[in-house]
Amino acid sequence: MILLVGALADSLMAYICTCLIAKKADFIPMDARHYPEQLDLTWEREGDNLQGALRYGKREVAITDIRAVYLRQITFPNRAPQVDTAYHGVAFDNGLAWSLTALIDILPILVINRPYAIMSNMSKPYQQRIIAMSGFRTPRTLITTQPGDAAQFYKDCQGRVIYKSVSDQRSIVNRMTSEDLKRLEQVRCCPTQFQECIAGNEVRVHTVGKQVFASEIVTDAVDYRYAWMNDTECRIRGIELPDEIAERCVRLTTDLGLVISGIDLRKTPEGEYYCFEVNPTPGFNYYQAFTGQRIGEALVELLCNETS
Amino acid sequence: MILLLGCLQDLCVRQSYQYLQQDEAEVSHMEVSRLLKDVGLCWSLPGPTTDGSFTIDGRQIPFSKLTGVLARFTLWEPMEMDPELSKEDHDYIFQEVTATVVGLLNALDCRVVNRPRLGQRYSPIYVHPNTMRNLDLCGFRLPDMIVTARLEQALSFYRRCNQRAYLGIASGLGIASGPLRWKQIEGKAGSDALQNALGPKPIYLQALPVGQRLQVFTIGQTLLAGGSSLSPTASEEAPLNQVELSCALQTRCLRLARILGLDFMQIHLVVPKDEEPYCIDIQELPDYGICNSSLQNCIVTALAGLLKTGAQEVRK
Repeated sequence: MILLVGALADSLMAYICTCLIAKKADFIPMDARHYPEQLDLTWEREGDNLQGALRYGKREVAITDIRAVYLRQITFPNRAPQVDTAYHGVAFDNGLAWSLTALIDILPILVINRPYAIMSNMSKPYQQRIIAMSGFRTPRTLITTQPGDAAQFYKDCQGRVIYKSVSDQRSIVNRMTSEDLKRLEQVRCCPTQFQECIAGNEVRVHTVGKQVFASEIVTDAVDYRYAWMNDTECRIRGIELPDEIAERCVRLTTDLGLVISGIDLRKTPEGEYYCFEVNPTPGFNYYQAFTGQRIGEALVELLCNETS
Repeated sequence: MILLLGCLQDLCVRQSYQYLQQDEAEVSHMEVSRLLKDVGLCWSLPGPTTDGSFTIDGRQIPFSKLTGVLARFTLWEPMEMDPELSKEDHDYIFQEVTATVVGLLNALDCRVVNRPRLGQRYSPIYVHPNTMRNLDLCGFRLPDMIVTARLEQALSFYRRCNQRAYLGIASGLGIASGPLRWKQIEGKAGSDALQNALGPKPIYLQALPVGQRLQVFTIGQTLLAGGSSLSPTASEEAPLNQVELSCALQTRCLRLARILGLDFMQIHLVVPKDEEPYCIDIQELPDYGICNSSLQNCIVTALAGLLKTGAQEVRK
């Protein structure tokens, strides 16, 4: 049995369900928002043995019958948080999320991707160090709460600077302009990441196990994902990467403890590849809609291989 | 300069600060919660962070001046911000500051005790597969455990572990697991506590084997251990006295700390007579307030020594 964890309204979850139905695979698409009324989880470890049961709706399965997990997202029940400080000084409390992520972290089966591995994306500078160790070039970056330093960086980069979040929240890339220099005082209220613009085309690479799917994005938008907001054209086509770069992408994914990833690269006119970020829960259906690449099928194949 | 990153209400930060000041070491203190109010940060990537700096009390201090950092913060500490902010903006800034501090502590080239590792959760110990493997490698056993919201399952497990267990409310998704406070439950009173704790949320139960209970603190290559009594019914509340561990057990604990990459680690052990030790819990933010003052002093001295000399060792 394959366990899919994510919001049922998510188009990627729907797509994977469709693929699994076509393959007549046994699977449960589980939306954690149905907790606790329709969802219950008990698991225990005795020595080396892990056992327990998952009830979702009317179906109950033994933990040992789960052969593979695809974790898209753990969505939280929509209710006010209850804080119990009797045992914890922890300010947020979602027992199911904890229980489920802990279990998914340690299940001795294929998990795409494990929660602990997903977390490297929570801090871009943290991830950037791991990216740099893999051999990719990374852009010159400044993280600051000091307006003067941001202004100096803008000058040093001759005005070719973008800014974006340091964490994985509200991660929209914007081009810095001379107008922004007037509001740099705001960085005192929130650390901000500034990066030197790298000339070239965006390349999005999806790795699924050892398979690599690369797409080139041609657009004038600073953040191609939001090109439509500015009526800017965005063309995406499948490309082949040099073997060395493809291998590096697979190795980086593995180094981060991931099975699938969405890697943001930029190929310079000189043919060098810069790496900006590794997305551990990539929305690959957007890209395959343009390119016809069978990324989802490769993912489903991986999941099904574990059950056969 | 040594930087202590954490709240002065934290015993470890406060005592380290006092010790280092008395020792006339150059020491500065910074609270993450007041980072936006009092502190300025600037650093660049890729490459070394030596050209970055932080500004505290109007004084700019280059990162190259830092010889050691004691990092004692959790991801759920409240942060002082403009009260006019919307909840969404507050949460966003909170995430940004946390991501910045995590990135910076991993980029500094001086010794950082301990560098926060995203996704590495040590407590409860079973969470991370690497931690489980490493414990096994170092010769520690793990007590049986259960996570459930079902009363009958919880009671059945409790009976199977002879009505001696640790009870915890399953909660928290932070990267640094923070000071998880267990509640020891025993006998009939334990059953009642269990029933009271169960709600829609799952609870966590971990068997508490019979044996000598030890709290071991590793500080670099120094190991200090506290124990209360050989009696299995000894109170949890009594301050721990320093005890000597066998060479074999010392080696196992220090090896585990090295493998986990923790300069400062607390490991809670139960050592049954003539059997392999059980590892009950690991903390990357050790809480040595349970020790008597003499043992506390030894820990602070060792920690200060590590912070003072660590940088040279790392840079060599």
